[in-house]
Amino acid sequence: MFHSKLDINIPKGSNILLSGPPLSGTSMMAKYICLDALERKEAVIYISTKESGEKIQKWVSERTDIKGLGIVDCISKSLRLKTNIEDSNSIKYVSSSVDLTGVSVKYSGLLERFWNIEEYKNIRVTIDSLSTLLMYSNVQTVFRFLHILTGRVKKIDGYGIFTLDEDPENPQVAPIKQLIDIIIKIEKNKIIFSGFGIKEEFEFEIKEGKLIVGGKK
Amino acid sequence: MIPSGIPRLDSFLGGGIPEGKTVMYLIQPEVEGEIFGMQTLYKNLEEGRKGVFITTKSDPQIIKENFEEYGWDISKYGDKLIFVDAYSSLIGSESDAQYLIKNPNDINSYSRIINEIVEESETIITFGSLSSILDLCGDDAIKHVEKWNKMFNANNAIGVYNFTNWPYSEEIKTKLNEIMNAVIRVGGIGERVILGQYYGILKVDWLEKAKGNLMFKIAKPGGVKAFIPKVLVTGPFNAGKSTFVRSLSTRSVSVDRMGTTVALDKGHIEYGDITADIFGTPGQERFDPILKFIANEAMGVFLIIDSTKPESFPRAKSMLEKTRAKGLPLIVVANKQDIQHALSIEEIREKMKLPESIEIVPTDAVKKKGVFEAFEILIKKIEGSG
Repeated sequence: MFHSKLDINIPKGSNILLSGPPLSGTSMMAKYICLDALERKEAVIYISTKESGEKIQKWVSERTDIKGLGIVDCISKSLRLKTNIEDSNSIKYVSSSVDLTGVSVKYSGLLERFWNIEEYKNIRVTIDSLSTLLMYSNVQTVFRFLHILTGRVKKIDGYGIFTLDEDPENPQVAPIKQLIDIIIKIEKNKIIFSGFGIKEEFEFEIKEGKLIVGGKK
Repeated sequence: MIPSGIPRLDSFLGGGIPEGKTVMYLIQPEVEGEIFGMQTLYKNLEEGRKGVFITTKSDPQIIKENFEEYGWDISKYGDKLIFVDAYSSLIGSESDAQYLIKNPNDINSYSRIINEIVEESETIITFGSLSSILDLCGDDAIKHVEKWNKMFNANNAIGVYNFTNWPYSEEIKTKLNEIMNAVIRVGGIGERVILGQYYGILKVDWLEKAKGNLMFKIAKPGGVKAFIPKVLVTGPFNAGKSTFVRSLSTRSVSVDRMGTTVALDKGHIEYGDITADIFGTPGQERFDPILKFIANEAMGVFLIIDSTKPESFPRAKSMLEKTRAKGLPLIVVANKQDIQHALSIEEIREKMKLPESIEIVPTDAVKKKGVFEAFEILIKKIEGSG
């Protein structure tokens, strides 16, 4: 199941682009989508280029159990948010958002833990956000990285959810769309799904720290 | 020759890396492989050589911290280690590296600095990530890499490249393979997710024939360690299998009742640059199905016998046949050699009718005598068979 409150059937193994103009709330939506999965005892690997792993972990822990949450933190080391940074069981650090090899090693380690050791069979991998990766690396480099990651998502029958703070129609990001099955657009108070023959719209609002979703439009 | 610093790799390379040669670690994405280049550099710094580290993905300070994660303090090598920083300009931050690449997107800016450095001979020039240089500078960068390699060759310098094998074009992959003297693949095992890691020789142009594969694990601290995932310990009842497992292991668990093993012993060994998991089976015949089960996928076998009990040898021989049928590397461990009336190795060989090709190693597992010698002999056999 993709989301317990959204009446939409997205096949497992799908890679999803979650896009919207800057400040439209793509990161927040990504977190709420992951939260819903964690509440249903699924596993989430959250690759963060915007917020520290600790901050994300805290946000989630205020809402649900963080047992199934693993984070790849791409900023704490490069911004020196703290000293003596060492990997913990659930937060892994990479040198910078340029280090896509490092990101792949860390998410792969978390996948092994969730899939093999803890036997989660529903895992989603989120990148928040592709826009940061594209700031530091060119689109071909990010494409090659995503080629590996989206392939992995298919192999484990999981979901890949990648945020993008710009219009996916932008020709600069066009190559990446080849790897994507479904596009979700955030427009004001609407979530619009398209792809795989799906075209659905839902209204939403965030109220008292909760995502409230309306019916199909 | 300089050492690669990677367990067992030097023997696959014919003793190490000759001066003037280049080695590329071709790393599968998602596999922790960049440590290979780091470990080669660190090993040589330790031995008093000079090194260069070219970083494209983080500043030298973070690279130092990355080395420290493996227990390697590189700051103590002072001027012997030079950093070339191709990262700080990319994000517009300050750098205190000896060499700063002002335009990391321009391959010429790398060439200028590498030319300057390489004149110091016998330097180990380590590229933290050649793939990211290619990503930054475009495919034309390969032509420069080819020139650098010629220059290293002329100056007796050694080039060590980490290269993440992203889905680049076949043309790039072929060219890279051509211009390197040695290529070592660092890959992952597993269908849905990566469960194990190995390295293997793809090319060594200074040897007529080169091959070798080894599984590895990454230890923090410690770095790359050879990994033998399953070694079987078997033998008749009360031969001292559990004691042998305990003596070898850094940590071990035994499932037993009234002092004898009824399920299995499991131990984890960390010895030198090797880690291994060993499994001991109970000796009684009713447990033979377990023996068969564990012998599947095992990489080598210790057959433990009690040197004071020749009456148990026929049973030992039948267990040996059961595992030997699978063609696994095997050695016989003649335990309890400390006891006065213990049979000698020659007597045991004769009584068990063992051919010379099967090695018998004397041990006293209680006092840990001979157990690590036995381990080393078996590991050599396992590697030989690989």
